[in-house]
Amino acid sequence: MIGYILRRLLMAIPTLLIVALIVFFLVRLIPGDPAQVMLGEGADPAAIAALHAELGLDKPIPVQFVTWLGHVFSGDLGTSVVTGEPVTELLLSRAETTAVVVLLSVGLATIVAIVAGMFAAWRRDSRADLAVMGAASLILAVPSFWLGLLLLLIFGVWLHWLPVVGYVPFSEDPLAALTFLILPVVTLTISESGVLIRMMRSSTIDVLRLDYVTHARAKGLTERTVLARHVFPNAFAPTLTLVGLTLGRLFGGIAVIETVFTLPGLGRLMVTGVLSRDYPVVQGCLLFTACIYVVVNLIVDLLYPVFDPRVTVE
Amino acid sequence: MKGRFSRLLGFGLVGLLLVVVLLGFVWLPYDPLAIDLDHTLAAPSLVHWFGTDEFGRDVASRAMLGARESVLIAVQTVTVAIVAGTLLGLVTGFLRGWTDRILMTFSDALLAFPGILLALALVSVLGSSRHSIVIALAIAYLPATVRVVRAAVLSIREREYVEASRVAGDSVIYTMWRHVLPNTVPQLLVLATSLFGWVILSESALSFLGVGVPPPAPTWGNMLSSARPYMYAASWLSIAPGLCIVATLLGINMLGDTLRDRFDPRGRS
Repeated sequence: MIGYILRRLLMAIPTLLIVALIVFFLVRLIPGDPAQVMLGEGADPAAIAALHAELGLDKPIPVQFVTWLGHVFSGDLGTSVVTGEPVTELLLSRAETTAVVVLLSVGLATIVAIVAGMFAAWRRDSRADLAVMGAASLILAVPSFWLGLLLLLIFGVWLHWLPVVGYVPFSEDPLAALTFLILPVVTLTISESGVLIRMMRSSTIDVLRLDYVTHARAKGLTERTVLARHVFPNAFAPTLTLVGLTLGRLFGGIAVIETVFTLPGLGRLMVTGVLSRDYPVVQGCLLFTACIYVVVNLIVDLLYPVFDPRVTVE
Repeated sequence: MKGRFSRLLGFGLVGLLLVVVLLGFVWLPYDPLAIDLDHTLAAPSLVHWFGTDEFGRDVASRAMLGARESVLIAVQTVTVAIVAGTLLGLVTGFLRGWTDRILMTFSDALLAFPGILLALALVSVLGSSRHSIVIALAIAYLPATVRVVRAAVLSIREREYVEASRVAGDSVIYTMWRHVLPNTVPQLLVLATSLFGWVILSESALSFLGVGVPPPAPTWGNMLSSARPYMYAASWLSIAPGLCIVATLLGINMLGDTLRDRFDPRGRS
């Protein structure tokens, strides 16, 4: 077990280093002088020279990379070219909103998937199964940002139940924040449940076929006990991996949702960074979201043996 | 019964998409770029089926032209991703060892970036144009392609006929070309279908975020993006492009399921 944990931790290190390498070189791919590109046309030559010195652009590239990596490790991701704020602070201030929306929606989507997926598998080929699978297929075809627009149209514009634009931080006024968060969370919950339902259903069907389930039933256990105690843990393992991947992906991937609902999250920060060519912010967002992805997947890998102990003996 | 329904729906919707795209080359109801300031934000009617936008342009014509843009970008992206992914997947799967380890660590690292953010960053570096969208999306989906091909190759390379080819003294390249590659075609076909759907979705998301195909060329994504400020005055502007995306994705997904059932009997339900 300890060997398994150590192996997983060691495997994450080269991945993170290459992530850093990609982020570093991305800005170097821009044709022309990076300092000039970051400060824009007609920038003050003195400012360009200062940025040159700050980024160490006159030194050889490997030295630049190591220096940059050193800064990253000490938590210094540079300053935003547009607002002059430190990128690390920007990221941390924006991460709260994204984290609340992502954790709530993925949590809800997982519960929906477990209930709907297991029920559909248990009542396989019934009308209920067809309805669940039809709904899941439809969800897969609806872009999350369009679903968001539709919900905004219905509950914001037509019914006036919920605000259409704006945001209050959760720490300031939780109740007001909630009115702004309901629609994004509902949108994401629906969007993300499609894949999870299908996964949960197919792995439940596989498990229901196994001999030990027949045995549990033959023992006279109620269907509820069989499903909850014997089928669920085994059927949930593949879905858990998918939940981990989804969590990691959404931390930056909800840029479109944050745009629809004008939420000040990480994805929105990245989009404004791209549109205003604020490359330190773009680099920071990429690095931060990729690290979250690696860490979340590491946690899922470490949780996996709880549901399927076989993986520790590779 | 269920299989037949989704097969019909898949072929029907994808066929409809192709008809609309091809029809767009010879006939559009109106000029999709013609500005008509006397008829801005007109509601759907017999004259303008899906209404007109903030510049009085016909939404139906723009959606038809948008279909062409989306399909062209998707075809180009899928081609680039599949060709590059197949080459890399063959190399990593067949040679294994250090080549495999290094390439797979790279691909894992690329997978760590949320696809849409990676594409966003690449477009910002390459500049906003059709070509950079194709390149950016192809790179974003490359790791997934490499993974699928590699997995297929790893299982095929252990088969007897590959062993026989090696024993017969065929070169590695010949063995891969003649015996390994043809057997990955079913997986590639299924993958290409899924990729097509993902690219349509990502491209519309990029356009929605404002870094897709530059205006005035219409895409479903940038039509939705420019409809956002007119939600009160003209809600129908947000409906038509979205329905186009849903119909396309539904068709592609159903077609993909059909192909998967056809080529991978184990997954048949």
